[in-house]
Amino acid sequence: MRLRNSSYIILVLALFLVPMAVSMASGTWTTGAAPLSQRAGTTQGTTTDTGGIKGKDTLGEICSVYGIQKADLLTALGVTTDLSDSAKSSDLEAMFAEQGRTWSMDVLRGAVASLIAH
Amino acid sequence: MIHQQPDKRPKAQKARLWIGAIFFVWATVAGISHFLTEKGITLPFRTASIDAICPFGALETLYAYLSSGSLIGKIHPSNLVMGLGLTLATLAGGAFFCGWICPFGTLQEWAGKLGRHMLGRRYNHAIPQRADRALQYLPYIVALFFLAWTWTASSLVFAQYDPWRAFLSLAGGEIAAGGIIALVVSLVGSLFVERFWCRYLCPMGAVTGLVGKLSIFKPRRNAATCISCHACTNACPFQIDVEHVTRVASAQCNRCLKCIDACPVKDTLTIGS
Repeated sequence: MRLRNSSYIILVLALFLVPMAVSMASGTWTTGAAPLSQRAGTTQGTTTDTGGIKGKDTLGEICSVYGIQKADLLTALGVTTDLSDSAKSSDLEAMFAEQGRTWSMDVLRGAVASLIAH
Repeated sequence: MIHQQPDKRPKAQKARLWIGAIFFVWATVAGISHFLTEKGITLPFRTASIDAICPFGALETLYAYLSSGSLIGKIHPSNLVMGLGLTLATLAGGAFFCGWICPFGTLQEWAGKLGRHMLGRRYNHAIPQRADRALQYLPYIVALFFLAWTWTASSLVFAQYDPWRAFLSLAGGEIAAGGIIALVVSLVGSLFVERFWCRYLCPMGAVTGLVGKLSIFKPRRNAATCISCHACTNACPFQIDVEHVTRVASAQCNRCLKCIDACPVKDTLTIGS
């Protein structure tokens, strides 16, 4: 069977786009608004992947999901001031700035990862 | 019958440029908007993360999804949906995604236009043919390496080496050194060779190329009416020897349709099953 160029383009574009359109319309497109517990990857039932930690996650959520103590996390980050459970990465960033240290989300992710490993 | 092309640029190529530009703008706006949202800037619309709108994510999380039903970090259902769409489209029409939709392919093609302007006829002939043939196996090694690493680490390791992610990160995200190196190598390489990343490194291109070999619709040449003018082979940006095959089954073919547009004899080179 021979196809005109235009028919071929429409057919292949439709096959690619229709599943996306259906998913978007049904609200199953992303889990971006999902809690950290759903975003965190798991390996053999243990939460190990810290890549899903985002700036909007609170220290309380992070410690709860990864099973670590907030005091240990702050120590691992080199933060001496006690922060509340509702503190976010922006609060940590401010403390790092006060100390003249460079902040990135990978610092937090790395600290959580090192605590999980112990 | 010789079929004259009245337009300087055939309709399919105009459509390809427009479709590529639309997907490029969509992916770029989504990526930059996500960075702005993460920085606390409120936008009138919600955007997915840049990791969420890449079909390669479906393959990266495939092992975790099949073995435990979970997705690895940064991967969303959208990756699986795009992976499904990509599989359907590729089984029907080959590596169409690479030639028409992939925003990084489009970016390289724009760099290639600059390279063609600078180098003229020497463009796309910078690498000797034997070396080019050998290097075309590299994407398979890259794909195997990153998929094995991702599946064993259960983490999105390719994000640190992804040139498209690095390109969007220039707008304010966390910049990974590996990604920036891949971006610079790909764009500088594309000044000399058409779609350098796609041709020699892209792991997703390796997979779509292989799946595309099974596709129903492929460029097909009618040997009875072919006048062996070399126009199709000369038009192919991946130097596939179109004029000596009856159907183009090469994994390198990204269905750009340039060979079909270049053919001067009507209905000699067409898309068919």
